[in-house]
Amino acid sequence: MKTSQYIILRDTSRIDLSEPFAGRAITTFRPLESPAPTVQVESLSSRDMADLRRDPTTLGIAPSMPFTLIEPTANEAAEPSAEPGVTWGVTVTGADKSPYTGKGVTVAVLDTGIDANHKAFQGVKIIQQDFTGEGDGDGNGHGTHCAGTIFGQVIDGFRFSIAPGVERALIGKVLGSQGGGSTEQILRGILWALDQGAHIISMSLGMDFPGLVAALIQQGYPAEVATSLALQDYRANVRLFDKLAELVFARGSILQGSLIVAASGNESDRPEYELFVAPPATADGIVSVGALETTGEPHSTLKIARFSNTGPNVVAPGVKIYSTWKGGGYRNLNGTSMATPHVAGIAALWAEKLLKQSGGVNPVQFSARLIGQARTDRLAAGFDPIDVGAGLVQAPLD
Amino acid sequence: MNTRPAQGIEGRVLRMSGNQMPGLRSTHSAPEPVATTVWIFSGKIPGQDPYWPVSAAHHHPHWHASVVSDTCGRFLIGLPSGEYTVFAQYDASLYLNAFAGPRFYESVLVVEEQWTPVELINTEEATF
Repeated sequence: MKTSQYIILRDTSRIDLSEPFAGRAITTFRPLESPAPTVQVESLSSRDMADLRRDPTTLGIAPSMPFTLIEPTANEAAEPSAEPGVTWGVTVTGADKSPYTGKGVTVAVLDTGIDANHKAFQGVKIIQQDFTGEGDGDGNGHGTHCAGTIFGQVIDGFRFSIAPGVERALIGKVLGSQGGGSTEQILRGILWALDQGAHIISMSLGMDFPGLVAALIQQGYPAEVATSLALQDYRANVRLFDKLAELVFARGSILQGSLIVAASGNESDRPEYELFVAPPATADGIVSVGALETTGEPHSTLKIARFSNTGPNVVAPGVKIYSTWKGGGYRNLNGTSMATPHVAGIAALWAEKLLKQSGGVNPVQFSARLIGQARTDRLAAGFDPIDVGAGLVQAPLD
Repeated sequence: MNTRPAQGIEGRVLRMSGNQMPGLRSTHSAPEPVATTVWIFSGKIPGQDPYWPVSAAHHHPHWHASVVSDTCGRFLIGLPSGEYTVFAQYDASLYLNAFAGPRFYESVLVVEEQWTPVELINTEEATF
């Protein structure tokens, strides 16, 4: 029987209802904090699939799919800031006016890794975990750029990060130096970050649907069949991320609350066409992030970026974003990949506030604060509400 | 008689364009070489913007030399040991999207008896 490789998401803490207790004494109790959901990769036949779907510990099954970086679209001219000590992303989110800096908050970045030796990361406890087999470090630069926007330190009096007070960062290298990864790597990365106590998980990555179609055509499938097969896999992967996000949310009501933020994707090209948020950001329970651009000083008029996919939950600066680069330097990049760490950083400020207020982070309050405090009053008149969701995220000011 | 100098900068000027979305199985067009003028300035050059108008740059006191990249985007220039900042020209602007910090472009070091490699990549017209 023909078999294929599948990713299986399991929650072994579920009671197996298929086995009646039948008067057996329960002799052991599982502690609440364990076991965590697990990811398995197996070769399955259609019969195996049917059996697994009946297993109550199975949360989801999906074929492994290629994931990619949401790469920056272009490096455009950075506008000189009127306030030379801070980037426009820090200013318009109100991070520079906030009494919070992310202190006491753990942020995870699932990306191409990090240049941990960069001057801007000195003083931050960086815990790296490689899921690609390449080893630690960042051969691409994308992960270093995203991490810098969240918790890069103030360098020479210049602040370019939202949460420079973050002292503990989890860097899950789920994408290789060429920017590729898989469902399995991403899922393992998320579960690792949860186990390590991440309050926020930032993912500037997306599914490569056209890449999968192309690969299937290369394997000999007619284009129509390849598209159908890819769509089938794509849908299964979206469901898998839906289940995972549900699990993260449920876990947060008992253990530590965590929030996943992800890039909405750069596949749109306004005014020609707009595409909807791409997976995994489209999964229920993941905060999807679109990108804004500024039309000039003093950043009073913001608009949705040409490339930003429509239908995100929130938006943040994503054009002409200055941040760290591998090798010790800095680059200006554009993309929803750059907007996502702005939201992760703002989430870190809200998490710090919640931790100080109540000693914990409740996932309902957490996402309610982040999304509920977003605003649209700085957006240029005539914007399409579906392009910006709740609006531009804002830092807590008191 | 033309003899190759012993040290300097050896580089390529490249431009990425089209769909560059990376993936496990996706294919991308390779960056294209650019034949253009490469401007070399001595020392560190202040700047926050990848673009620098030629009209301003060519009066700069640290402008050291210019060289033209070939159709493969390659260029080579012999230079005394020291620190340099290298830009590629696009129309009426110089372009360098690499910074050493908030107020300076990234520079390169030329050391004795060595060729320092430089890649000047412009991704302005690429979609990812």
